[in-house]
Amino acid sequence: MKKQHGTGIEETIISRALQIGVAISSTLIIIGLGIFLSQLKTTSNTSNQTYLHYVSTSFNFPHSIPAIVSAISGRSGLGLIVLGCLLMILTPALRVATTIFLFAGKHDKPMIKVTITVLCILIGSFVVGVLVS
Amino acid sequence: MFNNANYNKLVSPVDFIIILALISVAAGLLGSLVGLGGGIVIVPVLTLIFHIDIRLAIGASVLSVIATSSGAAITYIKDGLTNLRTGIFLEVATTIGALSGAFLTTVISGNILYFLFAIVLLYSAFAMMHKRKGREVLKTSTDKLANYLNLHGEYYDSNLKKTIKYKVTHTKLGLGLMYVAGVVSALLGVGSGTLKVPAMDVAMHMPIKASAATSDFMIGVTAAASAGAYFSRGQINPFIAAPVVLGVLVGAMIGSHWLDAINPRYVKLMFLSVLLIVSVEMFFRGLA
Repeated sequence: MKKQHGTGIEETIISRALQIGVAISSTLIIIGLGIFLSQLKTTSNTSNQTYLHYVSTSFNFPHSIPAIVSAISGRSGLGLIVLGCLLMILTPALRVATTIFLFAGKHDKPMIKVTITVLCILIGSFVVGVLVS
Repeated sequence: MFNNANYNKLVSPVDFIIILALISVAAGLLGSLVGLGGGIVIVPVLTLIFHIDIRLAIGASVLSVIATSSGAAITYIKDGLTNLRTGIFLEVATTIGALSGAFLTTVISGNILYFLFAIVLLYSAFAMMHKRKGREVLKTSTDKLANYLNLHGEYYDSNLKKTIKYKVTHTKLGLGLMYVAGVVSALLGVGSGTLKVPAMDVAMHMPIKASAATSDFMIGVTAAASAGAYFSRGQINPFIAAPVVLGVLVGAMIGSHWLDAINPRYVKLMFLSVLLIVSVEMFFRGLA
């Protein structure tokens, strides 16, 4: 890889990780949306259903790993969209994780500690969400 | 203007997805053309037009912020403008701020969120029209933390055709301001780049180009911290998030290709009027 204006190959790796993360999660969301819409056509016999049903605060959708797994195994389109959303949230964490290896390669201990701290906060955010809900 | 609750009962789920996706494309397109990101108009669209609970709107918006930031950061990192070390260092503050914000949404009322949103919209409108003036780059820094972590940087300025080396200072002030940016990002589901950039170029003496690129790099990580909390709390509704994320992403991709072909001044003036109208509407919704 050509090195230009201080941009190293490792930074290109980070960019690539982000691109792949966004591409995979978007694809899952598109497929999930397609499945959801096809299921909607076959199941919505009750024509009184407006979008308001799906956006109300009482509408249930999977938002934990076991619930996502069971939704997807039940061929739920929404389950696949949720998985895509989860991967989208994890993409920046992947970026941070890649950066740890970047600093490890340079034996830069202080920055490794800083980066691990950020990663721990990101992972902790899922736990915090459950605790305050 | 937006009192259409009765008409909304007639909108089918399929219509909703198509309309929201199209609006999100426009939001992503405009956002990338004026450099504000699409998040700033997604929450008003969801709450004012579709009468969706503001907390669910914030959840969907924060996800679109991650999507566009991950896309934008790709080009910036390749340009060599991003100060990766400073970005990661400041993310400690933005992510903790984002967690605080995600917690705060559970205790403060929806009305206050509307007021806050109105203020941030006004500030963003001001920041968009205000041309930032660069400060003289520092040749030396006495900031212990900046020197210990070697947060200083350099980039190649294609206009000046030379490499600009700069030193970073006032890291503690920078951390404090970044904490606030993280809180705002999580509370309102926006990227809060308009707060991150001055924290770097004004407070920490970084060049404007490096500040903007580093801010874009940080936005996704900041948003991910609150999105993690929102996700596990069930605030990211897939039915709302799917059209928003896909639409904003497509809009931002189109916008990045059109960036050179369009006169940004007209787009900015158009976006400015949108921001001002929406700000007033959000303020009145807060009063309701």
